[in-house]
Amino acid sequence: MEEKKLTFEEKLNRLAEIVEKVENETLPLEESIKLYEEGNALIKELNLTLKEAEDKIGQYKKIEK
Amino acid sequence: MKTANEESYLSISLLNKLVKAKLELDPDLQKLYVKGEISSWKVYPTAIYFSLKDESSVVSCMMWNSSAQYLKFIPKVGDEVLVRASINVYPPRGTYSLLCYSLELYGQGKELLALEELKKKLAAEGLFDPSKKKKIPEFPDKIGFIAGDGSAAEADIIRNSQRRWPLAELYFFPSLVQGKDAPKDLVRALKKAEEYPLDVLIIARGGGSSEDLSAFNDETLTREVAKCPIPTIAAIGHEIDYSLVDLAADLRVSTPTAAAEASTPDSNEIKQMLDGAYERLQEAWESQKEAILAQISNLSNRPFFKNPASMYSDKREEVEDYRKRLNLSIDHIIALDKERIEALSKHLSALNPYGVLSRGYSIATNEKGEILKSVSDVRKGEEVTIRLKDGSLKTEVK
Repeated sequence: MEEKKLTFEEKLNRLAEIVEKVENETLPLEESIKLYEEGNALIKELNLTLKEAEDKIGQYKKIEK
Repeated sequence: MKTANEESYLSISLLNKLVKAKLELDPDLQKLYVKGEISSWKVYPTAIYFSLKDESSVVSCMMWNSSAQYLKFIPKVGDEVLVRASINVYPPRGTYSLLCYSLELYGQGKELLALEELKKKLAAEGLFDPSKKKKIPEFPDKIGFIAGDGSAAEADIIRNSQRRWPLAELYFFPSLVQGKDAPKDLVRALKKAEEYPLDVLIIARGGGSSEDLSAFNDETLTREVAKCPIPTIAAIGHEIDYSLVDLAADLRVSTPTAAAEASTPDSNEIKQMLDGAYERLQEAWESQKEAILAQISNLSNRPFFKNPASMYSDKREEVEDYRKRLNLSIDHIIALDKERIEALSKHLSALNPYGVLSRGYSIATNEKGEILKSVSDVRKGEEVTIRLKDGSLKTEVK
């Protein structure tokens, strides 16, 4: 539930952090697996968010006086 | 005046040349600021020929196209203008004209001056300070924009921001953007926008609309933009012409499309980044997996894993050794016992009473079966049994 609160930008930053970590650090296998799964989940989520947003193109709110 | 002979009279050509030299070498006549009304205007391929007049006089003027290209308006007959010029004499006709370098509308000059004053005042108050500029968020959730209703700016912003970043919600606040009511209406739209939780607010004026930026030079509007709590992007002026609102906004760009781009990340770039992240994760994972596999294979090549039997084959030998030794000693013990038993049985047989019979001794018993140990043990006539090695005899005592 906590994760739901992350914004797109925060998720993107977290993903960058994960990639950076698994690429440049020697991590215990368990942690690597966890990060790897988390990273892949984030990629999936972010792609989905983008895709869903694209379906809403053309909508906007007009606020008159 | 001294009298001159005929030879000293000037030719017309010489006269005009002399006047030309006199006038064109006079520094005061080479840096003129002249005010007048345009009374004629004619454009030629290389220059513009026109005339300026006041109530009683006229002067011919010309401007090379190289200077005319910087004109900020299209002059027409009747315009009150200010020119910067120098005197130019045309000897063949003995006429002079003004060679103009710049030309400005007289009224506009005053307006520009006032605007310049206002700009200085607001700048001194710190309204345009770079240090006060808010950062435009990289990933906006809600984008607001103020533009003319149905304007090209409106369409450009919607199209471009949604193309780049469809995640953001768009809030459009239509407003007048020119005319005397525009400043008031823009302030109203701005205040309205401030009621919404916007991440960024664009103030745009569509390209191709009138040159009139005056609404965006309004002092009240400029102040409102400067103190707007939402990060603002202005797309009002042109590359060279900045309005005060442009200066007061947190960011200024040249077109509504540029404003849409400045307020949004490019989702295509993000998608590429996501693909890249996926590949990098995959690669990092593969390389770690390989390292682990290498480690495992390295370990599994150790003798312990390579030939697990080696661990206990030695033990087995040892056990076998013990077993042999144990068996050996048991056999030994059994053999010894056998010998002893044999010896004992021999000894025992030596003690067998019947054994002596075989050596010629005999045993005599009376009728009662008692062994005779003395002659007194029998009476006369009593039957005595004598036992020999191979049988017994019955006898009678005499």
